[in-house]
Amino acid sequence: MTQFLQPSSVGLMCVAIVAAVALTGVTAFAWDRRGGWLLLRAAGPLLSCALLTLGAFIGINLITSLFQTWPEVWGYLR
Amino acid sequence: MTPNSLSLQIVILAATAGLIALSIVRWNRFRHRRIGRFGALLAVQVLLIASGVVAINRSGDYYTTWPGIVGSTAGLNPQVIVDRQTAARRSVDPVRSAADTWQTTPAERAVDESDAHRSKVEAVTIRGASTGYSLPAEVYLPGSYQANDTRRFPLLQLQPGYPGNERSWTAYLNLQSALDTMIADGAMPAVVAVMPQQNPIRGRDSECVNADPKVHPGSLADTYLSHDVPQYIRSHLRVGRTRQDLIVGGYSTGGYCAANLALRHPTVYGGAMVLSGYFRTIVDDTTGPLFTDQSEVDANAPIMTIRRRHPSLAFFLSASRDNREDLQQLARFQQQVPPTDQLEVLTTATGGHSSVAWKVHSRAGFAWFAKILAR
Repeated sequence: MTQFLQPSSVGLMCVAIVAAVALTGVTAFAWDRRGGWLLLRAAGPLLSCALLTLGAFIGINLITSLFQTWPEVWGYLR
Repeated sequence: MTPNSLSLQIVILAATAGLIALSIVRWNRFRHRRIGRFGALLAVQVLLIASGVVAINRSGDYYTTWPGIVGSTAGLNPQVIVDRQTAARRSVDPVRSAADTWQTTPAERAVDESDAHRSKVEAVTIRGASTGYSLPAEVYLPGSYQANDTRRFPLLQLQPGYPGNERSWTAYLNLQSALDTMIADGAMPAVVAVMPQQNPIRGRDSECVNADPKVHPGSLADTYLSHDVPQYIRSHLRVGRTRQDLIVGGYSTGGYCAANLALRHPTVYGGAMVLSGYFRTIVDDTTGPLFTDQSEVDANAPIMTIRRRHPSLAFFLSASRDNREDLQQLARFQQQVPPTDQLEVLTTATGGHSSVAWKVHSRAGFAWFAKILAR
């Protein structure tokens, strides 16, 4: 797995936070639209919350150096 | 209101609930509807995550002060509350002889201090002769290591907590700059430090023990750490050859590892530096089953093995007074340390179970190592 995808990647943290904020924005701005946009009402906040959690997790991991790889994270959460 | 307080948890939960309620009520009535919705959604998400972070922090009393969150060690107020040396130490120690006494000449000390900031941290792979494991490690070489190609150095073996890895001491506790500064200041002689990976099965907490092969094949962490690592370091680097030149230390799970390894192998290690440690193996979902019978459990419980007859060891124990669990563990073990062992106990007023405390505790531990080397 490339360094970009590791749990201590600054790049992945930035992408996750920017994506979360962008998705929140799209969800808020498209809330009154009909059709397929309705899916955003349910999925948008959940997905952006998950992305923001990922960003926060990587941020904390960058400070604490607890995990280097995702298998270490899964092992801890197991 | 501290970061681990119930009041903070309640405030954040109340704010989250209030904001969710306000958002529902105002959803179609924001003056700038889209921007209002955007702000409300984002704020609720941030508060939900903050609530989770505070709950995790409260569960272990990790960070207990606000300055601590940004890494400040102000207000920790470290105090040595026990400093017990054994006058009879050398006479009761069958391993140490007069020739083993560690000595650095004034010239060597001068080079230590002047070259301190030329230190290096190298990533290596340690292949275990007994276990066959090839696991990563980091090695700290003091600046004066290159100055004299015959001189040997004392060795610190440092274990991380769990979760943690071979980089934790350097990345999390700034080991290199801490040792450089202490050596440059003359607070300790130059030392080599090795930080080995302690979990042979990646992602699984080994607790640094040899798991029963019937329940956990392929996890001989104890043999790897107490035999393979010292042997590898001694055959590849110029470090001391006696147990008095080798101290094992660690924080949290690494602290338990240090106490357990030193007591199980008192002919390998001269002592243990136990920072916020515990003294019975923690077997849980992160370790999986480790032992099959009570004798294995007892043999890996420093709180019990400390009572057994053993060559004199030196212990440095530390905890933060605002982490009740760590303090109780320390107090129980401290009571069991026999008078034939050296003991120094340090506590800090705050710091919790976190890097903030361990930065301060480990510096005191390194100074303690310098003291026992000089004796």
